[in-house]
Amino acid sequence: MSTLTPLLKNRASIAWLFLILATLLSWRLGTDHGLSSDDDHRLVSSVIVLVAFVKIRLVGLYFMELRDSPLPLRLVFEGYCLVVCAAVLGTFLAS
Amino acid sequence: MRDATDGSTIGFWDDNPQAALFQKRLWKACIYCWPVCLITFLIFFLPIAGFIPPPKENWSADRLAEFYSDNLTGIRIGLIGSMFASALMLPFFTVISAEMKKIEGRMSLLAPIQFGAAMILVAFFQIIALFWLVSSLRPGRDPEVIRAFNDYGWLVWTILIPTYSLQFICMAVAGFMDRRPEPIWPRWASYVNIWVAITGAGGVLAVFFHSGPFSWNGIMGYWIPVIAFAAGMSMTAVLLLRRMRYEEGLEAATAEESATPAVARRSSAAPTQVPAGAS
Amino acid sequence: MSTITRAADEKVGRPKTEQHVPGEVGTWVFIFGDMTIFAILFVTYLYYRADDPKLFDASQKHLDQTYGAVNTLLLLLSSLLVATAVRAVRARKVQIVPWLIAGAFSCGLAFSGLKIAEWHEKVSHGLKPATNDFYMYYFVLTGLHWFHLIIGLFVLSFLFYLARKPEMSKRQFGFFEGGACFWHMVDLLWIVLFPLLYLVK
Repeated sequence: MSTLTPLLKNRASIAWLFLILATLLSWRLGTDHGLSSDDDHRLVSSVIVLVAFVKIRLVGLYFMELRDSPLPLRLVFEGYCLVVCAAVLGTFLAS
Repeated sequence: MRDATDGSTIGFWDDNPQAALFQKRLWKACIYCWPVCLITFLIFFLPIAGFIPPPKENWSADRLAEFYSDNLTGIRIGLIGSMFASALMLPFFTVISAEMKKIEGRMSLLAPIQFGAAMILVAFFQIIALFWLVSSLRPGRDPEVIRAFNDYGWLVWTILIPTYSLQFICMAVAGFMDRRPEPIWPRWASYVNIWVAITGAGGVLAVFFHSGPFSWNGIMGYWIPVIAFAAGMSMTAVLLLRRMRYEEGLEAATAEESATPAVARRSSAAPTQVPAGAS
Repeated sequence: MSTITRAADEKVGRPKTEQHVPGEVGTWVFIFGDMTIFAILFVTYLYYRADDPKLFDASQKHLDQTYGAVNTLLLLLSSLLVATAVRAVRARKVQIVPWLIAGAFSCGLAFSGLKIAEWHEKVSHGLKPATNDFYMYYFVLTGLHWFHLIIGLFVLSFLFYLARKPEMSKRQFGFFEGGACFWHMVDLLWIVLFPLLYLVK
């Protein structure tokens, strides 16, 4: 394990902790039955979708190491996150 | 091959500059068959036959019979035109195999596999157009029969994927094998070919779902595989033309290099030939 | 032939500002191609959901969020292991790399096992793709993702084989990085798929 510890001292590990926490938060929010009105559900669902796209951005930047990649590649990825998030949220809220 | 002097064998092309030029033009024409095929197919299939977007999978037999009887002449002309247009894929696919053979050399396998898969694709384009033509043949007949023939055509269109994928896989593998300085398919193009091979497979879901994105008129069943196929083959057409230009450049360079000594040799040989001809 | 030791030296020695494409450019064509197809599927799903949100929400109640959430955690863990493996190769701590890849592979296998158990449970309760539109999407989307996961497991097996070599060529390390990114993509797609199918209402 002594070889593993220095490898884990890294930004990717911090991103990972955040990803775990965000997953638990979404899980809690998504299964919470305390909400009554439809509006609440829509708001909570929007937050869950937003969190999901923040999460995939972290996966891209820190796990796929796009943070250190040339600008065009990084821009394609950031653009993907932005456009798909907007399309998904837009389609959801339009319903 | 080179010892053929009477022009009866294949070697004829090597020694005859005019024949070689003709062959080069033929090669180029075969590559250009792809854009011609794409455009004519689109014209016959879209405005004339009205098959884009396709008739929906969940239409009733009567609704479908109406679709055929409303545009009988258009569908007949459009499908016959599409048949001729799709036959133009064969010359193009043959150039692909010929280029693959250059990569593989004597022990070529991918080239004939790709060619065989292409044959199946072209054959089925002819067959399904004929099935749709059968649907249009007798407008008065039982709508259920019309629908059955129409079903067959569209199911083949979306589910005839295995050989389609095989063609793209063969191209991808050949691309990875190509270690020449200016390969036909750069490595990224091989990845595109693998992606097309996998993406097209979404069409097989059409047999499970009669409506929605996975039906034969849906985005996954129809639009994405069709667009991926057309885009993937167009990419290869552009790359084949690029390779041709590169080889022409190489030939020009070597011809220039050998031009001077060749002329010198001929002029030194001339005096000995003149007396021989005179006597 | 340049070996990974040289590649590692270049990495260690390079200034912080120097940029680097993980894997080869071609793998990114493939990864973004797949991500685009899934993006179209996400939007298609929500578009058809809008036709009958009540049916979708009522059907969603029969899904067990625990399966989805545990699977997310499994994939996140496997991604961390794979990302650490890539860094370990660079840091020339090669002896630990096969273990990390094997760990990630086990997570993937566990995901697959849970997925099959979940599908089996649904089908045995009479919830099949033909039941309604929601279940059609549920089975097709999770099925397509599972198909990518299985490809990913084959990729990981190859990475395991590479990891056991005493040294990797530069080309092999390129494949190692590209394969790792493919595995992260499997994770990334599930991160969106899980809330869309299980949580959003």
